[in-house]
Amino acid sequence: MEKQTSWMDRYSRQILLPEIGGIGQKKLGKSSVGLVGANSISQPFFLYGVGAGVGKWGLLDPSLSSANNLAFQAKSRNPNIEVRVYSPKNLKEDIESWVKQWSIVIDASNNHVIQQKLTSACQLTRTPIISAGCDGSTGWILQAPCPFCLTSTPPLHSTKNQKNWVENMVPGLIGSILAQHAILFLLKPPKIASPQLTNFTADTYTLLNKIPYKDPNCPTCHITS
Amino acid sequence: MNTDAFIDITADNCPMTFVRVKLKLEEMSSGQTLTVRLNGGEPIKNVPISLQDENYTVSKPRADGNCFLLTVKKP
Repeated sequence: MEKQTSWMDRYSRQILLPEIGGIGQKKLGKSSVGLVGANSISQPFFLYGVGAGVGKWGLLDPSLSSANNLAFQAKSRNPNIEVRVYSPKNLKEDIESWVKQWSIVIDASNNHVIQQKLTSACQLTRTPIISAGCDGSTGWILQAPCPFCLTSTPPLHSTKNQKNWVENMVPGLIGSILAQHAILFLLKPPKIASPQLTNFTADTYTLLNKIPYKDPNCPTCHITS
Repeated sequence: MNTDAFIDITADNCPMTFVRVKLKLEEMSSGQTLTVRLNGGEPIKNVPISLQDENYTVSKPRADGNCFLLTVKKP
């Protein structure tokens, strides 16, 4: 009874929302997210997702100290969640087994090579994936990309090491929008997750949401569409 | 009046009053009715409005000692 009361207290504001309710909140609690990258995109994403009550998390990053630090922050925010930290070294080549254990994989690596590997593994194991990245004042979120389209027309990835205010703000914003995308996805998974791109340009405060993302010459999309 | 379920929210404050009613209704089937025992003041003012906003059919409140009774039908 005490456990139930604390659950209600913690998530009461979300339970009140018609689009979540008690059923949605329980669904989030049973959901799991495999998060790749412990950086300034994944930090706001992770903290919002943890706050929303997503029950199980796997954090994959080559820097175990960054991943552990993020896991510690998350546990302080919501002690009811389960977080496990993974190093890419331990996964070896078996990325498919890692991705298929999650309800959704979030790729916040901001790295094109990692993005391609994860996308292929997710497609093979039929695991939903959402990627996100930034470059300067531009950020993007890509839902359910096709690995072939990704190779021919990759979205921008960070190529700069500059740390100015724009770059700090853009990953934060992208991470927050990404959290909303992922939570909606977990609450109501689409029957067919079509590849869609959301773009944000900080210079003009322009948000272009859910643009279809595919290469017209892609052999896979051509067959499946 | 016979209803399918009963909940007493007189010990709760806003927003937990509505949260408890909502969770109870989510467990019930379409067409079933729930009797809610609630306090006057804020609960009797807000809970029926919140239920109507979510398309539940709410009866006129009936006095029950110092409290009130509401009947709610799940659409």
